Amino acid sequence: MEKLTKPIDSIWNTFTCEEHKCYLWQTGPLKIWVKRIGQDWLIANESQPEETLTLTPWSMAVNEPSNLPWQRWSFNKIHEKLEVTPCMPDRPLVVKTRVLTSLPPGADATFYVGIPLWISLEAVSKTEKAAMTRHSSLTLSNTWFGNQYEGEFCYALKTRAVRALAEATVMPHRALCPIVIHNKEDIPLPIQKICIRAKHLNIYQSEKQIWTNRINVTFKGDGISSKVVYDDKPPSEAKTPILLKNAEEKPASGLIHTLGQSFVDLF
Amino acid sequence: MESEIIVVTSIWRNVIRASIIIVIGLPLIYILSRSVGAYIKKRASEHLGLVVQKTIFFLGFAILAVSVLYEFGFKLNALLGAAGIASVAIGFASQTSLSNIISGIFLYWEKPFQAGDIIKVGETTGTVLSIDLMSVKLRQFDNLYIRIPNETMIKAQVTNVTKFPIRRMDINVGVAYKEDVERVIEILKDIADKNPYSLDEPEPIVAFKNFGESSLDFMLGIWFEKSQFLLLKNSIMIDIKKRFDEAGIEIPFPHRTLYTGSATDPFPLKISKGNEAK
Repeated sequence: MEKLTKPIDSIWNTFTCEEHKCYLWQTGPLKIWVKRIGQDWLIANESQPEETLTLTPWSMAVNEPSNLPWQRWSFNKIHEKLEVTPCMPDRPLVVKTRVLTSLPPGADATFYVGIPLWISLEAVSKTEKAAMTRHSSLTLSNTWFGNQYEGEFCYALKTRAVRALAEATVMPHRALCPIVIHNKEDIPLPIQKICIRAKHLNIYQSEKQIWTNRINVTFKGDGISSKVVYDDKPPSEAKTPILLKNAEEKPASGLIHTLGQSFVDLF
Repeated sequence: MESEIIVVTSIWRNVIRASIIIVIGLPLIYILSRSVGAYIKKRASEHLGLVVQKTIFFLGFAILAVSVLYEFGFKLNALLGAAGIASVAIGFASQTSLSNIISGIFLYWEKPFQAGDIIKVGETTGTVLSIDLMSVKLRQFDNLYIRIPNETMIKAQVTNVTKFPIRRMDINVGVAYKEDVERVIEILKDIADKNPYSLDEPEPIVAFKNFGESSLDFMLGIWFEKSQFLLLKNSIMIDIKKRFDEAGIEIPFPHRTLYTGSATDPFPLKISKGNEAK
């Protein structure tokens, strides 16, 4: 099994970019090349199909990518630095377990799901920060959450949904999201899929892992709305957590979010 | 002499008043209809915004016209009376126009499509620009402007392509008779799974449709988000060709087998030298 060779917190930082020099930054399968020419920034990226654990915090690129298109960002003043921060996917995620899982009546269980991070790049000067672009660390396929008439355009995510933290592989480009499911009904609950609103998730950095806040799902019966609550604090599993990014949107009506779908749609 | 001067002064006064009504009224109606229309477009829908905008404009214009006529001494009662008689004559003469107007009301009521939707009417496909009193205006994808009378819209079969958020693209693929059917189905499923524009759910479908004249016919049905039509169409066609080439699966062209009276005997051939053939 491949192991992380560099500390996971070394990649989220503000990096100085000398003019006309090409830098490489990599987390897992995503490589980003950056060049600054005067007031302009040039950015190229590539996402490899296979997930790796490679980390390249910020280093001079040995070779400039010749076959990738460069994206140019023009400003009216010089920004000497580049800030790289993690953020959540721009659409909800429909998470499916690889193996059909069921929860017995009255039981609750915690599953850990690795959510691929999006990488935000911002040009930084002494006085201001300007957002440039966001890249997904992993190419996710599209899916639809709802029926043929209405629903939501989402990303699909297949997961092992590991039960024990020790089984979860530390991936530098994934944030581990603990999902607690409570089956309050007296019938078994087949867990098919769950829609995670990524915009409600904070991102935390612990010693060895990136985390999101916990999601609590309470199933109250077929045809009755399940309650989904997004915690507003780091999960207890994260050791000495540091907040890297706040959720883009707080869940409506306090912390309780009701999906209003039958369990088939919810899971 | 004095009375003539008074009459001339009075006419000029009326002309000035009518001009003021037109100069102030017209821009006012225009601005009011545009701003109310824009507000409704933003808050409700583009379609409703257009309807309200036009209603305000035509209503305001009618009031303005009546006010101007009134300044010149036209009495409203007489005008309405004349309008009543005229409407009978005009009604006979303009049955098509009236039919279009009534059809327009039904279109608005039924709402089979709205401004901004992509619709197909007969052989015409385009984006709805506006739904007006008499006609629906479309912009075709090759940037041609099409005007379809409302009466035709009511009578014709109209397909609203963008009514629902997701759509299915059905692609017909034929492979040679020698190919392994199960392998072809497996590859087609894999192509759909790996395409970034294909939705995981609803799941793509692969159907073995038919024993065709020259090929085994399959249908690959892929669900996609409606805005990604072209991206999917281009990428999936390239994917199919590439994967079939890689797997050595033949996409046949139409075949014709000629028999010479008996299915078992070979077709007679005469081999001759190049010069003899000439």
